[in-house]
Amino acid sequence: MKKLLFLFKGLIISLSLIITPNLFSQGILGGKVTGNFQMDVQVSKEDSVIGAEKVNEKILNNAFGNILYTNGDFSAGMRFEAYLNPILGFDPEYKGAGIAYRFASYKKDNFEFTLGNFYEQFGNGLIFRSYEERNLGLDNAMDGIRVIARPIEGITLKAVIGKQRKYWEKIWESDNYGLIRGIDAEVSLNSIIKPMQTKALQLSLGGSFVSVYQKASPKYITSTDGSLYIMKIPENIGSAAARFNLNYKKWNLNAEYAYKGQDPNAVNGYIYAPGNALYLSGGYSQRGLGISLSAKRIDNMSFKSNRDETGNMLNVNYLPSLTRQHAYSLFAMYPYATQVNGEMGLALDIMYKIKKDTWLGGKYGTDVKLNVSRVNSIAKDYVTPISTGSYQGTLGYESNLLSLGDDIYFQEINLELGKKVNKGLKLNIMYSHQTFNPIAFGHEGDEFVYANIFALDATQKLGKNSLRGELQWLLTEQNYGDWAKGDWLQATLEYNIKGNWFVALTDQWNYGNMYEEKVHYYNLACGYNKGTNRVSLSYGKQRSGIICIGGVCRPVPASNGLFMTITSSF
Amino acid sequence: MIKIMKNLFYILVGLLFFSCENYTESERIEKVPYITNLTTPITNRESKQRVLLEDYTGWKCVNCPRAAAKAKELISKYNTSLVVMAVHSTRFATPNAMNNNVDFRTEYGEKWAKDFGCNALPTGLINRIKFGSIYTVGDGSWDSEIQNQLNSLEHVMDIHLGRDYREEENNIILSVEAEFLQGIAYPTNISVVMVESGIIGVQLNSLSEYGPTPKIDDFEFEHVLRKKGIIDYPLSSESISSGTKIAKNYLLEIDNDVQDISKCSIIVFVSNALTNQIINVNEIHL
Repeated sequence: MKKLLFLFKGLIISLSLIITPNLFSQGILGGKVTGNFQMDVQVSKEDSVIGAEKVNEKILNNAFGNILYTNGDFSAGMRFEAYLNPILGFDPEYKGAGIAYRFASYKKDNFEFTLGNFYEQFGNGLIFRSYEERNLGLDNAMDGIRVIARPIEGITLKAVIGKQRKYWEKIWESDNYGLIRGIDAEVSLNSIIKPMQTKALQLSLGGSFVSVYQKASPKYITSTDGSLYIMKIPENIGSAAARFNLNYKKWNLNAEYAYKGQDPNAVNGYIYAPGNALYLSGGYSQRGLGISLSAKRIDNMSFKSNRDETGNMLNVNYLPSLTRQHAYSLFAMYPYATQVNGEMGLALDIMYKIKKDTWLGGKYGTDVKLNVSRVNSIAKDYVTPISTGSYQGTLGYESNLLSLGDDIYFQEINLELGKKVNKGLKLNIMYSHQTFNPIAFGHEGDEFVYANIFALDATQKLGKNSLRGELQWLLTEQNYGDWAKGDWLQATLEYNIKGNWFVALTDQWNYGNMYEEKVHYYNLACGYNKGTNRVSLSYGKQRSGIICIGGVCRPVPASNGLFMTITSSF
Repeated sequence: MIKIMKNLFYILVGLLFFSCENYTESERIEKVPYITNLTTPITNRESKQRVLLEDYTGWKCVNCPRAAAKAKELISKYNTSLVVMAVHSTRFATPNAMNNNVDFRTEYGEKWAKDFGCNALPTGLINRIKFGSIYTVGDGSWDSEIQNQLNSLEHVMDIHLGRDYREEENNIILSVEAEFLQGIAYPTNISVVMVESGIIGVQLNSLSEYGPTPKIDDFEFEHVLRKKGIIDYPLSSESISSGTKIAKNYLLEIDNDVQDISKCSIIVFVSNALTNQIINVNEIHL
């Protein structure tokens, strides 16, 4: 323990001395260099009780550093990544180190050119989104060329061509990685139509088109009588989307419709049904009140640059999630994963601030947040399968744009109250009722989980320091498997010193587990911030589970040991 | 507003139709004609691990007679443990008036040459094993590599064959029995090709010990791959257990270019569908 403390102290001092803004953010050839760095180090030991597997390497490490050089309209950058070896839960395919991202970009007149890697999104991402989500181990950065043109104010045109990153694979040496071509146009009518410039109604229109070319290799289907069939696979998969965004005083409305041509792939079971998606989001906001209503429908919209790929890699598009992204860990125990083959959902968010100096508002007012969401399957009329005994090679099914399916995938109601009690004390109380279909974990047909979850979070200022206590309680009748383990209780105590140091103790207790040991997942964490540097160290147990961000999920295995994170930027 | 959006949408839909492929119901799948219910008795049944040598060659390749002679020598040495297939491909095999426009190229042979990096001839593949980052093996190393493979290859399966040449229909019924001696955890493909020996033709040559230079007018081409073939058809899916036998019957059309059917044989090889490595091979003469 002494050695660990010594190491920890040394790291902080080294970082503080070495990484200072003055040293790095200075001009080089008239330009400016900025960047950031993160390193995660994990030491985990075998623990049969929680299912933590032995780590042969003893120490696991994920690290990356971005360096960005900017000089006027020119910029260039790179990201070095090292997974030596990847921490638990990250795909072992990441093992290795190297420059994963590099680019050069410049602007000239109304044009902007990017060569190399880039991230980009058309509209809401329904047909194209290239992005990185480090917590999911997801990076589908494009490698190619991007041109952005702004011919007149209010019009933005984008064109992209390239291939997507997949771990460290040599994407340009294989036909397994499709070539993505896309264009996008966005027009702000208020900018280009003079009479509209002074109107309260703000309207912009957009449209995009994306096509993926992937060479097809023969795909065979064996019928029930032993006959062999060969499928004709489309090599060019096209998709188009149209959208608008409307703002009028306190109101706003955003809509996008996308269509994808025939794309038999591993996710949809190699059927030829075209895909489509509709996303609608409307809202109203005024001082003290915000209301937002969102709806979406997805039908066969898995769009990847390799038709045989499953999982999170090589996604060409992104299908936004309507469900709430929870910060409290027990609330996120049953997260929702977007069902790309078909789902229909609705979400309502209401935020209201009860005025101060009222009976409910008290001296400082009270924040009330209500969130309701529900996601169902879509109705599908399946075609008659051919003699192969499967839907492969057929249209698969037909589905009406407004037809709702009978299966509930996910439903939740969240109520949250935030209240400042006095100058030093802040309270946050939250309740959630969740209905969870294990289809999100790929377990179609398993018993639903119904959970009631509560949280009480209090922060008390103590001069320049603060003390935070958090209590979470999850109650569920379901107690049958890996993810349905009955009731949980979690308590956290965190002490912050002058905004620089923190120490936190957490215990997540599965006291309702009927079939296994009632494990205490304890965790002791401490950390230090100075400027843009942060070092944190934790020791304890991590339960296995699933982490989902924006409806995209990855499993996280159990671990028991030490975890250290260093982040810095300059 | 709606009009503008509609127009924009129509433009994009127009683009969509230009840049994507759509198949009608009748176009989506078609029955593979090579599979048949007709059978013929299995006559070639021997449990043996064999090696396939693919000799990538061409009539314009001046050193290829040397490689052909090496292949002949190796057949004598390894007997039925070695199966040889001469793949005439690349620019070295393009016909012209000098060779009387005789074209030994095949569509799939060209594809293999490209896929496996057979650009500089002569060269060869031995069971399509990747050596480091390349598949190709020069003819000077064929003997030692074949020996290595015969010594080290795991005998996973056998291919038993039977054939019935039907002169009137101009086709051959081929019955295949794939017998797995060990369980495997990968999918496999099967390929059926025909080769012909004893074809006399023009071959360029730079080495006097293999014939007249710069051209041999009566070179005897052996094991020439013919145009009709059944390439990389699925044999087994994800995994297969020890003791499994898979029976398949194929109908192979006879190439119009075949000169003497009695000098032809059918080569059947089974490969790992993920790595292309050949697991075993067998040959049956007509």
